[in-house]
Amino acid sequence: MRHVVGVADMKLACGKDDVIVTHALGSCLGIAIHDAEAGVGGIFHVMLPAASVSPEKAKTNPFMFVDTGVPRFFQEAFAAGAQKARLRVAVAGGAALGSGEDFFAIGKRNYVALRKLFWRAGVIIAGEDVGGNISRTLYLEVGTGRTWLQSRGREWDL
Amino acid sequence: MGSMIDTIVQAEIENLAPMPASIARLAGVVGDANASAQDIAQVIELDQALTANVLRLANSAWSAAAKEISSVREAVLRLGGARILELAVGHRVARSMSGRCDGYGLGEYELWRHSVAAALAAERLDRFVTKPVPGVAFTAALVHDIGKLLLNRHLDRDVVAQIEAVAESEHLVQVEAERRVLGTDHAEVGGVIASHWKFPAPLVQAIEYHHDPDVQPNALLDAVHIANAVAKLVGMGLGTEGMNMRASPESGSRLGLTATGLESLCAVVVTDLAKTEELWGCKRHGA
Repeated sequence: MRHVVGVADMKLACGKDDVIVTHALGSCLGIAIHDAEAGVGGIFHVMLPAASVSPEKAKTNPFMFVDTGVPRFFQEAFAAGAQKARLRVAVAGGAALGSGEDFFAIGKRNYVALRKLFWRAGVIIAGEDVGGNISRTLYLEVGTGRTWLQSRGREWDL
Repeated sequence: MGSMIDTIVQAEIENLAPMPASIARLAGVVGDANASAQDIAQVIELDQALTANVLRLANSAWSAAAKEISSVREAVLRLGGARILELAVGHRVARSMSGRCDGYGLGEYELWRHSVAAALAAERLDRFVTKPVPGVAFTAALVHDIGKLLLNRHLDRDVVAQIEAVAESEHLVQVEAERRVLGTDHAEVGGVIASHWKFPAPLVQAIEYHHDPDVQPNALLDAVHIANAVAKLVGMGLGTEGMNMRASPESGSRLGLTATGLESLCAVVVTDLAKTEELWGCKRHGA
């Protein structure tokens, strides 16, 4: 079954034939996690670095922000049987608008916020494809753990 | 204007859904700071179909009016002229902008979703800036990419590949590559369409220069430029272009928008977009 993850949302799946996909990652980040032993995988599509810009929005939807969404995403994966030590983590997106002026560099700010969080939690990124100015679609096949990207008619593994 | 744009526009513009003259007049009177609610109501009442539409739309879920609105004048007073213009233009272009736009790598509803996201951003922008944003910004942002609809028909696979190749080899943003290959771009074509619709000059200019706000800066143009950037930042209508467009930080600072304000605006737009999509009858992404 195919699960589509929208903006500021996440999905976990545990079926062998399940494929999770998130479309149109621009400056947003897509984070794919997979525990082969538990057979659990998930994708999180996050839009903004920090909940401080809109605490009330973070209350209704913590998945809008890296700092509130990433811990929740991992907790839900652990509740579904995944273990931190076994997780394969891949990251994609974080594109820049145009020449990447600081004002619009939400993609970069997203990525920095994520790296900071991962560094503190001791999470290692196994594969990543971030930056540039393309739109990416991120896939995860739960049965095999294969994670891949699609953009402008090309496809490559992550 | 180059010869390419003349050819394209002459051949295609008649095929585009026309904008009734009354809507153009409405855009003119709404954009005029001296016009009263009475002036606006009069323009609407001259056109029976527009009157019926305004009343129907004013009472629909989209306007979120608490009590039934029974006269045009009441609709203008309660909703404001800018809101009525949004309803009228939105109703007019929703159908044509909902289709696929293969030349830009946009599937069904993607251009429309991008347009609605930009329109919402233009409207909500007011909360995060120090300079007043003109009320017609919503309408301008809603149709800022109307030129893509028309150019799309000239973008077969070979042309798209050429544009992509030029963008890559010469490090051009998409709109420049488009101009290099076609001799025109969707912003210029959009401006021609808006003139053809007899939209007032500031609206035409905001559409024509939405990728180039620093040439003749003004609040409406800056609002549309930022709105387009926000629609991209929230991931709506990326298509082949992706994020390969120039965004002007000067546009933001002229309006008094900060980087934090920009992020807050993105949060507001993505939340409100979900509600708006249902009202406009768009399918959810990927559904």
